[in-house]
Amino acid sequence: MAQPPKDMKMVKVGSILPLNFGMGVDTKNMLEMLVAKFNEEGGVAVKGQKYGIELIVYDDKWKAEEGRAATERLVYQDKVKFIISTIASPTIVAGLSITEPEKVLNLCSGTTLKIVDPNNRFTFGTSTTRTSLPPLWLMVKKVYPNAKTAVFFAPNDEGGRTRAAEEKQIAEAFGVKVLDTLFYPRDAVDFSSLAVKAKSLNPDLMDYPGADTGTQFGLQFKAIYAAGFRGGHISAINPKMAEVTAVAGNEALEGLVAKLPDTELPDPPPLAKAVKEAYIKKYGKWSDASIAWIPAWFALIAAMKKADSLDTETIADLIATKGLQWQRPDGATMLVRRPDLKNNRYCDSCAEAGYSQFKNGKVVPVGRVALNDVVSACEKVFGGSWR
Amino acid sequence: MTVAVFAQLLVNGLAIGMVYVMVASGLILVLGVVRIFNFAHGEFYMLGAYTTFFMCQVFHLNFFISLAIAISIVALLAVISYTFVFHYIRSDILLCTAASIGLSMMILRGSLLSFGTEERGLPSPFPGGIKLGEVTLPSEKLAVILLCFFVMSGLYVLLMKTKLGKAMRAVRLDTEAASLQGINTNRIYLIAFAVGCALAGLAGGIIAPVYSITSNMGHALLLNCFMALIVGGLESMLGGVLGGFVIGIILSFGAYFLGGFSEIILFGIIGIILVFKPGGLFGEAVGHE
Repeated sequence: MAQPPKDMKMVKVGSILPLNFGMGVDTKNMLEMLVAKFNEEGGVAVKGQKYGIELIVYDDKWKAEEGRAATERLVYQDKVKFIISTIASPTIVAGLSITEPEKVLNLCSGTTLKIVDPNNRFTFGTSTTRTSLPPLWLMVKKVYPNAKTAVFFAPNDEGGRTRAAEEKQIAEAFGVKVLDTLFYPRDAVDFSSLAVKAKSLNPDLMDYPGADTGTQFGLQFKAIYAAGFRGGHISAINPKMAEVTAVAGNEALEGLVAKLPDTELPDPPPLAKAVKEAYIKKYGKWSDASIAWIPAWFALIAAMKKADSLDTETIADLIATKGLQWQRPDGATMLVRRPDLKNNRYCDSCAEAGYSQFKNGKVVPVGRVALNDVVSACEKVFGGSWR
Repeated sequence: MTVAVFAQLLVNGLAIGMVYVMVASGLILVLGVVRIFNFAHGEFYMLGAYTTFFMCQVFHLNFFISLAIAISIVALLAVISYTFVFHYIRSDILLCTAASIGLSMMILRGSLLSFGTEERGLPSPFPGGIKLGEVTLPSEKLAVILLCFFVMSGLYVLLMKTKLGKAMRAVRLDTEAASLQGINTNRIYLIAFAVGCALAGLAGGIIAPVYSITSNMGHALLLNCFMALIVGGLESMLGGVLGGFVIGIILSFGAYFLGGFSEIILFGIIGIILVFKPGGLFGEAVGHE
């Protein structure tokens, strides 16, 4: 790639990612590609001066102690004032006691509710992990209007139980009664008995909160189908179809409603298309594993432009009081308040979302929930005014 | 519980149980004849699964041909392992135990480096189900039960009706006496080790299309196989068979009633069995004098 212009000043931006996981590596690759492209295209203009980004990425191995050490290194050694796309909740939580006092603008991708704690001034949630379920269920009710009951399969650990409880609340807010949640060990491969039990409850829908997206997910579909279930399926996450269909036949996935990133559409919108093409050009093949974790990058640039400043206090106070809207490869996104969590700052994110259904062996787009409808759905479920 | 639910759980339990029976039988054969507790047994099971996967997916071979190749490769690896590792230290049980743990770690790390951490899946060669009245039973589980049954029948014939099997049983009973009868005990140890590991590899290959394939799949299985041996009796082949079925049935029905806590039932029932039969159902208790 071409070098950035010589009159461009550089701003350091840090990111702490779990490089022991494929999605961590993919997110690093994606951010590096986006930053290089951004610098090559002239960077961002703030008060008439062009700035490029110098990205510094450290590995936290999804552990609090490693994440804390990485945060200290970024803030105290590298003198970074912006951190983006941190995924691991242990890292985010461990680092808050550094980033907040040091006034580091921290645009997080993780799931922990600590991100949207009302005591935070410089920390914002930019992925939609906390707000993606209401629009999913809005779409589920459109696709399966007569569905009244559901059974959940969830991993028997903190993450699985938390997601199951959240999704149960949301499902019931949309008029779908959760008959039972069947828990399995995180490393389970045999779902036959649980599938027989699920089928015996005769639900209209099966849901899989907290599930892994690959082969294990496919084994669940296979077992459910073998037990005789022929109802609808829901997935809050985008399954890795190649791995899922390697073990479960197409008939086992029939009707599955799942999130569909814009990059996977037959004719993606311009930003999604540009990102996908640039990624393939640099790395040879596409991976959508990072799509959920990179909105922070686009939010950062949008925030700098809106504030016309690189001062983190100016940026943080502006977006916390006035909000922020930005485009990401997956569509329009906006910061929202969380009155249900006693936080009236703009601190969390909602995004428009596209969904697909698996029909006759193919992933077929079934519709989109517009940004305003996403926010309305979240308000309905969690309460309060989020705009 | 309806008849359909009971039938499905029973078939599931028998399918899991048959896999444990095969792996446990291999373990008992190695323990009984060669006098080695092979902690790498689970890794041979894993290698059987991976070999079947690669033969089917990469070389596009028929499932049964892939199985045959998998058994051959695993048996060859077992022969190499015995010849270069266990042959020299067979008389020292502690050294053999340590060596088998080391072998397990080597195979596991080697497979992680070679195959990565990614879970693999193999499409089932027996898709769909068989309808029996109101009950639909998954074809692949029925195929597992049938295949394992044939293999175990073959093992029975080998051990009870052939000269080689007679020699193995003789060595198991009394090595010195067998040697005095003209039996080449070193050759018997090698064959028993290879057959035992090949059984594990075959079980891995049979189960490969049913579940996913990962480098650590042998570890979890080995733990349950140890429990099958404890339930059945450490050196009893019949005990191993019964133990395998008990484990499989308890896990299947237990998961239906208790979900992720089914292992509590398993340990509870094993505890009760051991209270009344400390040596297992067909084993002998080891007393202290």
